[in-house]
Amino acid sequence: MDTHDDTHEKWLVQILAGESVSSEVRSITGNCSECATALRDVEALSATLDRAGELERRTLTAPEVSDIRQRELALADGASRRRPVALWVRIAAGLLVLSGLFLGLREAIEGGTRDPGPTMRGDHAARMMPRGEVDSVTHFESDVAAPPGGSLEIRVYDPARGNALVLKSPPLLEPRWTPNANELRALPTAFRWDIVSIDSTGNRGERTSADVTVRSR
Amino acid sequence: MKPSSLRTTPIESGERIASADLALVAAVCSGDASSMQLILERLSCIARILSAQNEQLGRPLAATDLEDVGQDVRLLVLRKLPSFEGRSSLESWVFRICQIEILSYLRKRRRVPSSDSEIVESVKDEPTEGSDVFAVERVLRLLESMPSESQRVIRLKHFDALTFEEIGTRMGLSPNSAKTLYYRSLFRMRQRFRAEEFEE
Repeated sequence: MDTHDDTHEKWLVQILAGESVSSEVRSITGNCSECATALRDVEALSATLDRAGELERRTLTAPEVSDIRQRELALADGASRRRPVALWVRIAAGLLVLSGLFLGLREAIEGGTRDPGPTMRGDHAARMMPRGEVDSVTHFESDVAAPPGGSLEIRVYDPARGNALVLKSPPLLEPRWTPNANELRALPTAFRWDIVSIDSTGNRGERTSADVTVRSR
Repeated sequence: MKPSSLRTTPIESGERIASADLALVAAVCSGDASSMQLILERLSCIARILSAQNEQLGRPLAATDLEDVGQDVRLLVLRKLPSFEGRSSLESWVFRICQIEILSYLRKRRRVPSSDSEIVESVKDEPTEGSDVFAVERVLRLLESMPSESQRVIRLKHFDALTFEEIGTRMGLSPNSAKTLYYRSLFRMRQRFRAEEFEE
């Protein structure tokens, strides 16, 4: 039992929490160097959490976000006066979320698009899908190749909101990206998307764009 | 992503206080377009949250940087919507995501918070500029990965600065049980911290 393991950590929790422990346990943990390290680490972690908490509290006093703290306090106060939400209500809410995700995924898979044909990019006709008027959007695809050691990035913009960025893909090795159901729902009816290559040093290459209008929205 | 409310682990004692926000998110996830519009309007809070956070850090980011972070946060929030549990308001949840992402942006761009920032000065332990603030980022990310009950007790202790008696009242525990849960959570967090360092 002198080898540091989960039992030692369980004892340390008991000691810190002020629970009664035997003198043997105190002796074992007191002589264990890894217990000493664990206690120092936990102390440091606690100190960093204090700083994080202080940063958050100070930030929440700023006028532009003070409503957030007020709302939280009001919610917590209201919650303390209410009974806990019944288990069946929580399960039902969870099933609703899950069924929504399933339906969204099925819609994304079954939604159809027409082959839009190529978009000229210099001397090379780049294939961009979706492009033009489509029934729905399920994914983004092109034939732009990633440079050796580099990647591709797909971005979607909303022209109606000053070309605000709506979606951005993670780094892609292939010119194809399937956003999740929520991301697809966030697409505006009319948008522009582009694909750009990024070389191994982070330099961005030529950008190829396509405009899309979704009929069903 | 599997909704957190369908975890197979025992349901924690923490209650969901923002049921209206949870219902709104559930409606969005089930495909309701008007609810999505409401969510997008609510997410306009991102800009002012980041502005306030940038101010507290000594304004290391210019307006264009804040716009970049804001766009990334907006996308991240939409992606993480299924994980919203209603244990806080939507804005508070977004606030925490913003805090992590602005610190992450600073670290990646090697931007150091201004040395005349009161908060940075008050938490600096070493001459190495910004290292403490980046430790905060790491701890915040780790905290987000902890089980809900552990997150809750740690936030009530360090962010709301409550006593164990007050924490116990909030969580339906005795003060001693709250204390035990707190220290157990800290040690679990430490184990994850060590595991991450090992992987690096």
